[in-house]
Amino acid sequence: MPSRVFVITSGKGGVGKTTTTANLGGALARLGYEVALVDADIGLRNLDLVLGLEKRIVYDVVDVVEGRCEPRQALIKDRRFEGLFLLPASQTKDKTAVDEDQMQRLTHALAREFDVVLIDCPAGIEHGFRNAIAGAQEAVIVTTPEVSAIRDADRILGMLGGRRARLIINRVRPEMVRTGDMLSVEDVAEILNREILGIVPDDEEIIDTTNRGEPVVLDGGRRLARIYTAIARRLLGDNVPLPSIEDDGLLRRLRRLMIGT
Amino acid sequence: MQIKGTKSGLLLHLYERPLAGAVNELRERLSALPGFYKGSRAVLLLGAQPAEAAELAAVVATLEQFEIVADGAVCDSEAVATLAKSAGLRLVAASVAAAPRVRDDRTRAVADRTPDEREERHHRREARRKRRNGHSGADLERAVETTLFHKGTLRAGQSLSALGNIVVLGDVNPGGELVATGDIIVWGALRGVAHAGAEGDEEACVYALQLEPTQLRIARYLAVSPDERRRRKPVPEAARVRNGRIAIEKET
Amino acid sequence: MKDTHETDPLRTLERCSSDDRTERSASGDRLRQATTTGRTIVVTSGKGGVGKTTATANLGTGLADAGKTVVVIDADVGLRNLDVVLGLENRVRKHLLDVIERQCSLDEALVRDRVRRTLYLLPAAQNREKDEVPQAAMAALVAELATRFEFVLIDCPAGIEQGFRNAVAGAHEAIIVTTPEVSAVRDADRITGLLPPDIEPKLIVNRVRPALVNKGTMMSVADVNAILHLPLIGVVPDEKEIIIATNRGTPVIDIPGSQTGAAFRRIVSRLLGDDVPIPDFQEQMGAFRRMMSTLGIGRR
Repeated sequence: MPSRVFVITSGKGGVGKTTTTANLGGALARLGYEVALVDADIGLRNLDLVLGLEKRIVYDVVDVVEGRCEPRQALIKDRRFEGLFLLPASQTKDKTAVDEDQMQRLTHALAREFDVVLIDCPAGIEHGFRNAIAGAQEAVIVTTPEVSAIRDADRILGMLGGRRARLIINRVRPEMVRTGDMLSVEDVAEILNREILGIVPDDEEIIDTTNRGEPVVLDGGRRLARIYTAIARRLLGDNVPLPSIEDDGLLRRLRRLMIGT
Repeated sequence: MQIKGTKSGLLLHLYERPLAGAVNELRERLSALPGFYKGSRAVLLLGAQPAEAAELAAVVATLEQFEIVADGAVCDSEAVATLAKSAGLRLVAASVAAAPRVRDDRTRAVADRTPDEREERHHRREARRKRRNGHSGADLERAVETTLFHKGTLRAGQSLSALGNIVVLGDVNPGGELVATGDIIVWGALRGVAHAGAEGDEEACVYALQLEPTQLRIARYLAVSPDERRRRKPVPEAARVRNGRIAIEKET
Repeated sequence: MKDTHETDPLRTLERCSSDDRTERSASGDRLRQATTTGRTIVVTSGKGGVGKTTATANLGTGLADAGKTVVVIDADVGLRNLDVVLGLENRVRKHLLDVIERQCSLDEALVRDRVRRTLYLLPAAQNREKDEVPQAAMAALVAELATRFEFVLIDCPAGIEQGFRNAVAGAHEAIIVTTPEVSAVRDADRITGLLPPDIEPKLIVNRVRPALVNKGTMMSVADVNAILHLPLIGVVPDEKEIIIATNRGTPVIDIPGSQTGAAFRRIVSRLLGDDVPIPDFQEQMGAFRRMMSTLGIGRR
């Protein structure tokens, strides 16, 4: 049975999990799927900010789990993306407010109602991380081509309990790879030894879009939007070739990496 | 003492002290329908006030007699959290550890109540008020209502709740939360969430020197901030319920 | 000298306000001599990836350059990174947990920097989890280190869980690192609210891009502090040199011409009590570079 519930994780903080969750969710919705995004970063919620939905939050994950409301009361419908819903985290509680069993039941309940469920995982490997992966069938590991991030991603790979994990390599700067000042995509994939879902180039406009709560996939014509759309399709099994980010020689090597893990 | 049934089990409202009183009431209510709750799990809402370990054990034991498993507790103070943990209960929600300096332990329960519960309590209080003779009774009751003062910035993730009014001498940052059964006054910028008249009082107001909340609630009414960011000079404003919606007015 | 003024409270008050800093540092010295306790500072943020570890490494390095004895502690049990940023990962043998569990002495775990001989690293354990470190033990360890070092810098993990609580245990001061970005500021605010009430944190705004601030697509430092209301101890510009430095294990403070490095040196000076002004990043880039050379980039 194809996976429905994915956890977006990384280990290292600040590599782009939340931005990825938001944009991947938007892209999937635009492709016609019914998508639920779950913010599992209780106490430090950010997914609502990135989506610009903060002011519409009335109930959150903790309210659902403690029975103060039904899941559908807590889900916020994103009016810009048909089929996209957000289940926000709590701002005032902390991660002990929810446990793994509750997260599992919650995500399974959502999986029955939605085509895809994406869980935005908090940084680290503590309680919050364990909660986030509890209900997930598969993982998407977001990393940047930096030693610290790769190291943490590697650590995370060992804590996924056998779940399938694929990579998104974020914030790639091709000019720095060329001068040898940044690890190449190939280097990263070789170290982590996992299939690549996508390569996202560094883009300073992302900061502004996150600040304004307007995910970059809103504008389907933008390069980043097309990249996230391709990732969304690959996520669900389409064999979309990875575009060249550097040169053709590398593309051939990358294709091999993608198919044969 | 309230018992609320939810899809994941029971929620027991155990805020009143002494807890021994709750044990008797619990036994009575569960005996009335002995098999009804069998096999359920229960979460105990214990509030902030300290309690005796023996009393808590008695609650858990009583539940067990009716084949209800008490496996979680929502605690609003460190003392109660420690008590709950020693009784073998898992902490379901954060305790005061999250915001020890600002949470008003007496009244944290307000924010955790559902809108239905709050309204019910409000109507009950209003009914009690009406039963008293004359004007003076109502005034006396009003005078006894407290006002919670907080000096300094209320930060993201911090929450203040009060049976009565709240006055903040400082800013309320985005991510901060105020819940009051009465009015809310912010002598600074209100950028978080404010809920006045939390138990149903539609006359309650929210005042701020800079009224820029993410969300405003008065009784059952809710309003969100407009999308466009206005960069004009801040003026003191008040939010009230007018004609079935929340309206913002300038306060001179 | 104080005695002669005690009879005149007004004059004593005047002296305090004008010579406040010298008074404070003098009494600070007396305090240090009396108790021989170093300063314990936790570097935290809430949000991950804003530059805590880079800041800890560079401030530690800079303080050592100023002649201080410094120990930097990696409190990120399970996901250690401070050793990599300092280029010391090959020299890690024992770690924090080993010391706390008395599997080894402090001296066996401390890794001395190759270049700065008064800088030491206490590495985190890679294969254990944060729940395993009891807060009290951490506080005791920090207190002990403070008797041996003038500065104890604690690199805090991201988040608000047990890892954060452990890192804060035993610290008397805090530096909050944020970037000029909505989520980071929100998390920094949350963290500020979770610190013990006796700690007054200072703020570093990291990864500032003056060009984007001018364009209006990035928050300014003023925007950030309109929410955080914290005393500012530094503003650090963004540049690609940081990534290079981190990957190589060289503190960015050592890269000649680096504006980021210069910013960290200024923060070190402020930590040591010097009133170094924060440059106005709104000026044009040319003027900015001139100012940098006056302050002496690369000078130790």
